[in-house]
Amino acid sequence: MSNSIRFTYKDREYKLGFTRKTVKQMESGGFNIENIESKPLTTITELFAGSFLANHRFTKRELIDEIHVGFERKDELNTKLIELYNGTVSSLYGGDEQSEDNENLISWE
Amino acid sequence: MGVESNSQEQESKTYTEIFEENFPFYLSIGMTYEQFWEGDSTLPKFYLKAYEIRLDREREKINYSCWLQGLYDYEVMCSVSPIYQPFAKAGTKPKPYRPEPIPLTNEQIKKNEEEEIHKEVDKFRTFATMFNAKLKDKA
Repeated sequence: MSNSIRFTYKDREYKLGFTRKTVKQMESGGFNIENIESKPLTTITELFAGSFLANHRFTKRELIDEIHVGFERKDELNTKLIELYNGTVSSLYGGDEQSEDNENLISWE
Repeated sequence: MGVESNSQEQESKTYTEIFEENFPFYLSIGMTYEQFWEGDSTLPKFYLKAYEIRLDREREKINYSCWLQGLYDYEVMCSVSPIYQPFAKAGTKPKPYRPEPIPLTNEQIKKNEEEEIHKEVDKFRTFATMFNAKLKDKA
């Protein structure tokens, strides 16, 4: 089971994910996961950017957007991002919403 | 418990509110600030599981302890019951209280059994010595 999204971009390894602290930071910055239905594009973009905060907080926004645009299998990426984001809450209740066998699911070329 | 929460209530809360609401509980079961806020997001699940295991073990321990207490009480009641018989013979005495606690482990049981055997052997040896001495005297 993976609780991160790993990939390499321009010879640099990235490990995306969320901690409760970064989720709190995102929410205090105005992010609301419930907006995913009314504003899916903005929310997913912000969610992707937020997933850099835990391990790559100083990555520039332009680079984040550039990486996001080039990602393969966007649907799977989005599902995984939401899964990881929700995991910060579900694990508090002993739940496990993360799917298995998703290690290195996201490839980059 | 901090983890018990109404799902409808949860829906109206932000994640931050849910985190802050649950944070004291997780601190109370051993998570540190860093583990909760900055650590692996799945960690609470394992802390919760460990807490449940610990709780079960404590419950079992309390249950066993109460059962054992009941056993001692029962034994005492049985020991003293003869003197409370309405038609008990004069001079009836209660059985003495158990000199040692009830053995709880196999090791203790085995040790007690061995001690019991040693006592019996010593008794027999004393008896045999006395018997032989008497025989010698007669001869």
